[in-house]
Amino acid sequence: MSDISSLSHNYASTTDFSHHVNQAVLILKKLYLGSGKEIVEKDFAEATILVGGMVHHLLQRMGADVEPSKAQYAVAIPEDVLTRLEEKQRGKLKYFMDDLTKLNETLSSGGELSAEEIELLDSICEVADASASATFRKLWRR
Amino acid sequence: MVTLLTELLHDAIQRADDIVHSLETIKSCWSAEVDAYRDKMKGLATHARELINGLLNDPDIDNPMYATNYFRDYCYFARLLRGLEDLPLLVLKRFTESDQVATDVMAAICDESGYPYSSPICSAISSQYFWTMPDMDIVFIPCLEPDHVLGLPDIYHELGHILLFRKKSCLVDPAFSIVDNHYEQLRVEGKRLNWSSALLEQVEQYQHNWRSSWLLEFASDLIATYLIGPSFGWCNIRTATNLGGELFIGIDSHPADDARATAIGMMLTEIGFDESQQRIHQRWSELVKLAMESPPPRYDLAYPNKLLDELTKFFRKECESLGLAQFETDNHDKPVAKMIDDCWTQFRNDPETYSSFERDRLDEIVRSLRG
Repeated sequence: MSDISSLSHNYASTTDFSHHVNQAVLILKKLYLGSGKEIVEKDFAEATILVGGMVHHLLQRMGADVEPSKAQYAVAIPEDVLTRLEEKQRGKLKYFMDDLTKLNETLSSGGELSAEEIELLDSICEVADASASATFRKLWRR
Repeated sequence: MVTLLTELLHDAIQRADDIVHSLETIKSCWSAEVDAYRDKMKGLATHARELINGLLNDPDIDNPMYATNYFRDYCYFARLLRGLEDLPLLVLKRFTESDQVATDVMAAICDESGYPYSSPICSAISSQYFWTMPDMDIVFIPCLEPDHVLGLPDIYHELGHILLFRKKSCLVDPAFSIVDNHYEQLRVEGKRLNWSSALLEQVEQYQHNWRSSWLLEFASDLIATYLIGPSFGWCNIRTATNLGGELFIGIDSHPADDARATAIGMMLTEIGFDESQQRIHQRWSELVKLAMESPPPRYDLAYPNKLLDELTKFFRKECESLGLAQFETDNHDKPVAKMIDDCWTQFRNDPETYSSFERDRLDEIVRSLRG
């Protein structure tokens, strides 16, 4: 009934999202930019599905003309993460959407990710982590 | 050379060890639910410790290419440990008889409601009215609430928050689609009618508020009304007056009280309590008149009745699918729900002598729960 419940709900959703996407991106980064020796195939497959679902749903939420996400692959994008991404990309949103669309194509075709595409994913992780951290501060330092 | 990240990870391991140790030393003198909760939180802290240790032993930990990702991992664990120390550990170290009473009542409510998870524990330590940490299964209530009944319907609202968190894909995501479709149609209609860009932006803002937090509040109200019936409507009037604020003005985190009262009324009608809904609406109108408030411009765009109605029907259907028990007046097999309903009826019929009625009923229930 107090506004802490919705705040803590939003924190729990955002921190989960941020943590899982960051871990998945780290796996892809190790595979495509590092030696990738220690990456287990199962972890790689799961990371690709999660990141693919996230990118696709993000495009959908940002108004791109993409097929609606299939329920089993849809990764919910927390509202604050979306708002922060849009704010961060203000003025260059079109380029961001173009890059995201290209990344979506690479992921859905099973292609190798480039350093630029990993950087794009890292920038989404950065925004998600900032959102989780800011919501946590709101909860703890009211 | 030891890096900042390595130092921070070692510090986090020490904190995780402290939390595990402190949870281990808490004496087992409370109910089985409390012990199970302590063990669960200990498991969470132990698991976090293992994962942090895994990070420390990762051969890539000092590779600058991955540094920001590892740092984000650390931040996640640091926040988790802070949450464990500040909430479950604090509550369990200072657990009181009042907390146990509230936890017993919560367990009975969960059992009666067909709540599909283990019952959360309650702590009567809140200075922020009722609230919950849905990922930690803990509900905070004001310190005198375990001795009273009229505020108990708000516990059902907090259970709603936990259900929404746990059942996100079948409750929240489809409900967001309902909200998005509604506002999309509104935008199309607005453009056709040549609405100003300022008005279209306002519509966008309302949709954002719904997605940020309003939906969670409405949905928790709808679930609570489904579970405890008219008592939630009466309790809502009491809460709206006790907590203050303007009845028709929502804030970022909470929709307007009046719109919430409307949604609660819709659910009451939906589950067959239209007569109660009318009586509650009459009282609500009395409150609006006393407060001398009226809806601001564009109120109907912020809280469209059509959207509230659609959400009411959706959440009723989903509550049924989840096997949650809808409130019924013939509720002899649900002693806590019956007590709450009886108490609200008694309070409205005879507020002057209510307190002794409440005390007797609550004592009786608490004794029976202790069995």
